[in-house]
Amino acid sequence: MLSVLYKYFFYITIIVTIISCERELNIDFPQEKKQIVLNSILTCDSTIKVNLEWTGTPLNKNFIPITDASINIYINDELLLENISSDNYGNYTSQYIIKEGEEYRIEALSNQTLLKSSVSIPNCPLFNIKQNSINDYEKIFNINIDSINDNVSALYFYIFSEVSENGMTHQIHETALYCNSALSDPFNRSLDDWGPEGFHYEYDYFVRFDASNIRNRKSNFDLAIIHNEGKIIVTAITAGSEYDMYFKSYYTQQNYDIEVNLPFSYTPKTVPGNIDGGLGIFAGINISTFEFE
Amino acid sequence: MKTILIFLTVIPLTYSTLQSQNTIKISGTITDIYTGEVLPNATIYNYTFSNGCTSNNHGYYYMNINSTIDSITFDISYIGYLTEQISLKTFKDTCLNIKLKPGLRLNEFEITAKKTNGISNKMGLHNLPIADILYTPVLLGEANLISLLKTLPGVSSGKEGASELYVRGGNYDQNLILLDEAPIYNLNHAFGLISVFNASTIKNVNLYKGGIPSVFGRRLSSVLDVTTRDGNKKRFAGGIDFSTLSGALYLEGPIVKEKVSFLFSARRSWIDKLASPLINSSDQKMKLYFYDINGKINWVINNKNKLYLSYYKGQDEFDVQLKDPSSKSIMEQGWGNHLGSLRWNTILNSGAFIQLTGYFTKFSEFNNNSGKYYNSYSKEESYSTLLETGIKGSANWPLGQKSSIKTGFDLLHNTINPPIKKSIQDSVISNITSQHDVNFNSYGVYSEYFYNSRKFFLKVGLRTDLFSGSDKNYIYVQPRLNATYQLSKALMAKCSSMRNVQPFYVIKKNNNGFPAYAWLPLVNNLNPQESWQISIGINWAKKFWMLDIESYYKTIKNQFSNYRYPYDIYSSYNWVDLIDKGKGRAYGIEILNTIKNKGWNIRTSYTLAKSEFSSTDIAYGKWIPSDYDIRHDASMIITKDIKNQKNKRNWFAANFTFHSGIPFSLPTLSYSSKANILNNVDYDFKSSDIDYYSYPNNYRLKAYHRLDLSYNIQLNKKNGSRTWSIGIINTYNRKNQYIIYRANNNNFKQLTLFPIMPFISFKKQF
Repeated sequence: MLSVLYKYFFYITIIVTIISCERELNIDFPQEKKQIVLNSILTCDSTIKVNLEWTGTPLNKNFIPITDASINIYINDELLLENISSDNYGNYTSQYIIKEGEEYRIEALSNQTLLKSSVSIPNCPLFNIKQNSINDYEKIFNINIDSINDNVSALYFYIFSEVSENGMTHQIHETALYCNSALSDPFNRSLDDWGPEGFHYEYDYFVRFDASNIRNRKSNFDLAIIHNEGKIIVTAITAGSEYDMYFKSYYTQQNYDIEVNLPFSYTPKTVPGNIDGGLGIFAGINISTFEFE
Repeated sequence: MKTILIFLTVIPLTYSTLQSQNTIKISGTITDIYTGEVLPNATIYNYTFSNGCTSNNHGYYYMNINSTIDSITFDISYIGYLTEQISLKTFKDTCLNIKLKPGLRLNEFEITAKKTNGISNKMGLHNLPIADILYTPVLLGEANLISLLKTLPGVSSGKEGASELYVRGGNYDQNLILLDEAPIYNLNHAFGLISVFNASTIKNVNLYKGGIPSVFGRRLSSVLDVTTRDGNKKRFAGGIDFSTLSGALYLEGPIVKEKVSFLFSARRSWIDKLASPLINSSDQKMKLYFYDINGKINWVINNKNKLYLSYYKGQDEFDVQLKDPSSKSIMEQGWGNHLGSLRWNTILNSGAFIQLTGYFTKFSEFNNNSGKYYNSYSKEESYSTLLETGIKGSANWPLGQKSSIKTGFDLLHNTINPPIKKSIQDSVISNITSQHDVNFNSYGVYSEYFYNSRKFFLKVGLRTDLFSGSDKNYIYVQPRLNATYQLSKALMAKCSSMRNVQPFYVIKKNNNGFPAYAWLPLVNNLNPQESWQISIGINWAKKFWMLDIESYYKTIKNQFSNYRYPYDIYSSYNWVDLIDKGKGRAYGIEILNTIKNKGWNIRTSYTLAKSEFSSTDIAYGKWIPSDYDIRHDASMIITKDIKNQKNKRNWFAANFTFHSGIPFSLPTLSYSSKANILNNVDYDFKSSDIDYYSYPNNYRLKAYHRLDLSYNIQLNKKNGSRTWSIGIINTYNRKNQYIIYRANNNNFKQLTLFPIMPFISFKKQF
C-alpha cells in the first residue's frame, strides 16, 4: 500500500523512532455523561434506517442500543412517518423509498431528550463511465461527469472486483487506485511510479473530488487499477456536505498511524455531527454502481 | 483622530521652548575599544544629578545637563565590560564617544537593565546576555536563542523541541520578531527543533512582553528585537561552530579600517550529507537540510551618520527524487525566510537621533509533487507566501534634562498569498482552491513621551494604525503606558498598559507530518485581532540578588483556531467558515530571581498563569484551555566557574525545567460509526468507531521536567579561542509525554520524543 516515496518518510521516522520511545498508558480519561447517538445515512432509492444507541467510553465500547425511542420523520416539512418501531439493536426502519432532492427532518425522543436534525438528499450527477484497458492487468475507466447540483459536496469513487472461490462469489475492495485528474483531493494519495502509464498518484481506498472543483468544469478523468480477472464494479458516492465532512474527518481520525506518520504536527481529529441534542449523523447520499466484465 | 493630531504636533512644538533652558547636551556612541562594535543598552549614570540613560540599539546616548555646574562625573557600564568613570569639565554641548574595554567574562544573568545605580528597570522587558545564548545546554548542542527565551517567566516552554513562542498566553503568530528591523514570519529550522537565529551573529536581544513601546505595532503579545553584530572595524576575525546537527562559519572585518566593516555567516545542517551514501543511489536521491546566511555591512560615514545593510536568507527543505528510464517522480517541501534591511542613522546638532529604515521580508512554504512518465506530466503545487515591504522612520528628540520624545511612522505593504493548491496535468493548469493574492497597506504613526528622573520613569505613547485592504479600512488608536517608581534604593514599583492590534492571522498546516503554518489575510468577515494588557510589578535588587515580580491580565478579541477541522481545511473553498472564531484571555504572575556571586550565577524563574480561548462554535462558548495554557512553569539555570584564568576557563552549566502538563485532547466518549456505508469496503483501520472529544484540550499531559548538564572548556590563545562543550540532555531520562495516541491495538500509547541524549559542540574563534 505504501508508495516508494513513503520509504523516505520511513527514514525520518526511523531517526525519530531511534531517539524517541513509546509505551502503553493507563489513562484517567476526562469524564463526561453518556449521550444518545443518532446515526442515519439516507441513501437515495433505499429505505430509511435509523440507529439509536448510547455512547460508550473510549476503552469500553459496549454501545447499548435504544429501542424505546419515539421517532418522527418529516419530508419537506410534512409528517411522513410517526413512531417507527425498533428491533433489538436500536435499528428503526421504514419501507419508504428515499428520493433525491427531497428534504428530510427527524425528531427522536428518548429518555426525555429530543434529538433533531435535517438534511436534503443530493442529486446524482450524470456519469458516463467507459472501460479502456491497456492490457490484461491494467484496467482503466474513463469517467465523464456532468450536471453537478449545488446540494452535492463531494464525489467518492471506489472500485471492487468480483472473484469466485469454491463456487462462492464475493467482492474485493481494490484498495490501491490510480487517478490522473489534477482536480482530485490529494489528502489520501501519494506519488507512485508503479502505476499504469500516465498515472503518477496512488490513492488509498477511494478517490475524492470536492464538488466545487469540478462543478463548472469539463470533468473528464481516468481511474485505474492493477487487476487480473473477473468482473469490476465502479461505485460512485454522491455526498451532501454532512456526510462529506463526517466521512473525511472519520477517515483522518482513524487513519493516523505512528509507524508511518511523523508526530510533529499530530492533532487529534474531531468528527463533526449534525444532531441537535446528541451525537451522530443524519446525512444524505446517492450511490451509483457501474459493472464491467 | 483629532486628539492624536494634537498629541503629535503639540509636543514637538514644546520641544523648541524647552531647549532654550540653561542646559548643555552631551551625546555620542558607546563602542568596544577593540572591535569598534557599538554597545546597546550600556548604562550611563550621572553622579552629580543622580540620573542617567541607556544607549539605544545603535550605541547612541544623549543627556541634557544643567550648565551651571562646573564639572560632572559619569559611570559607564556594560555587561562583560570594565566600568569606565569619566569626569568632564564643560560649559558647551559636547559629543563624547566612549570606548569600553572588555573585562573578565562575567557570565551575567543580568536579565533586565536593572542596576544598583538607580537607573529604572523597564516593565516587561528582558535583555538577554549573549553568553547565555551561546553556552546554555540545549538540544543537539546547537546554540538556540528561542530555547533560552523559553526559560524566562511569561514565555511558555511549549511543546518539546518546537520553536514557536507563546508569550503571556498569546498565540505564536502574535509576536513581532525583528532581525535588524526586518520582521521574520517563521522561526523554525529542522521541524522546529532549532530556531532561525545563528547565535554567533547576535549582538543584542530584547524581549518586550508588556509595556511595548509605541514604535512597535501590528502584533498582540510580544516583540523580540534581535540585532546582529556590525563586524569588527579594526581587524579581520572569524570563527567556526560545530554541533551535533550543523556546522557554521562566520567572518568579519574592516573593508575600510574604522569606517566600513562587514559580517558574514553561513550555517548548514549535515545529516543528509553524512547519510547520503546510505540512502542515495543513481535512481533515488533524497535531501533533508536547512541552511541560513547572514550578511551585514555597516558604514560610519562620519561621527553623526551611519549606514547599515543587513541580509538574511534561510531555508528548510526535504526533497525526494525517484527516476528510471521511463519515469521520474519528485517531491519537494519546505519553507524559508528571506529578508533585508537598509538603515540610516543621523544625529542632528540638537542631539536628536533620527533613523530611517527600508526593508523587505518574505516567508514562503511549499509542498510540491510532480511526476513524469514518457510524455505525460503531472504536478501538484501547494504553497503560500507572505511578502512585506516597508519604510519606517523615527526621531528621538531630547526635551530637557529629564525628558524626551520619540515620534515616528511606518508605511508597509503586504501581499499575502493564502494557501493555494494548483494542479497541472500535462499542459492543463487548474487552481483547486480559488483563493487570490490579497494586498493591503498599513500606515502607522506614533509619538511617545519619556520622563526619567531619579525616582520616576514614565513612558506614555499613542500609536495609530490604519489598515487598508481591498474590502475595508480599519483604524485603531493604541495607547501605551509604562512607568516605574523607585520606592527605596533597592525596591521599585512598576506598571504598564497597552492596546495592540494585528491585521493578519496564522493557521497550522500539516505537510506530510511536518509542522507548517500559513499566514492568512483579513478576508470576508475576518477582523483584525485586538488585545488589551495591563501589568503591575515590583523589582528588588541588592548586591548580588535581584528579584522581579510582575503580574498581568490580557484580553484578546477576534482570535481564531482550527480545532473543529484540524485537517487541511484549505482544500475547502469555504475555509473561512470552517475556522473557529473567538476570543481569548490570559492572566498570571511571573517571578524572576537572579543571584550572581563568587563564580556562581543562578537564575530562577517561575510563572503561574492561565490562558483560555472561547468560541461559540466550540462547546457552546465555554472557556477552554489554550494550546499552551501551562499553570506552573519553572526553570533554573546555574553556571559555576571551575577555573577562570586569562588563558583558560572551565565552567559547568545546568538547566532544569519543570512545568505542569500541556493541554491535550483526549476522547471522552466513543460511538459506532456509520461512515462505511459500502459493506464490501475493506479499510485497514484501527476501529470502526468514532472517538468523541468533549472539547479541545480537555486533558493535561503529565508534568514535564528535564535536567540538562554541560561542561565547557575554553582555551584562549594568541590567535583566538577554542571552546568545547559536552553535555547530556534529559540527564535522568525522564519519559516526558510528547503525544498520546490510539495505537493499532486500540489501546492508548504515549510517545516520548527525547530520552537521555548526549551532545558535543565546538567553537573556534580566530
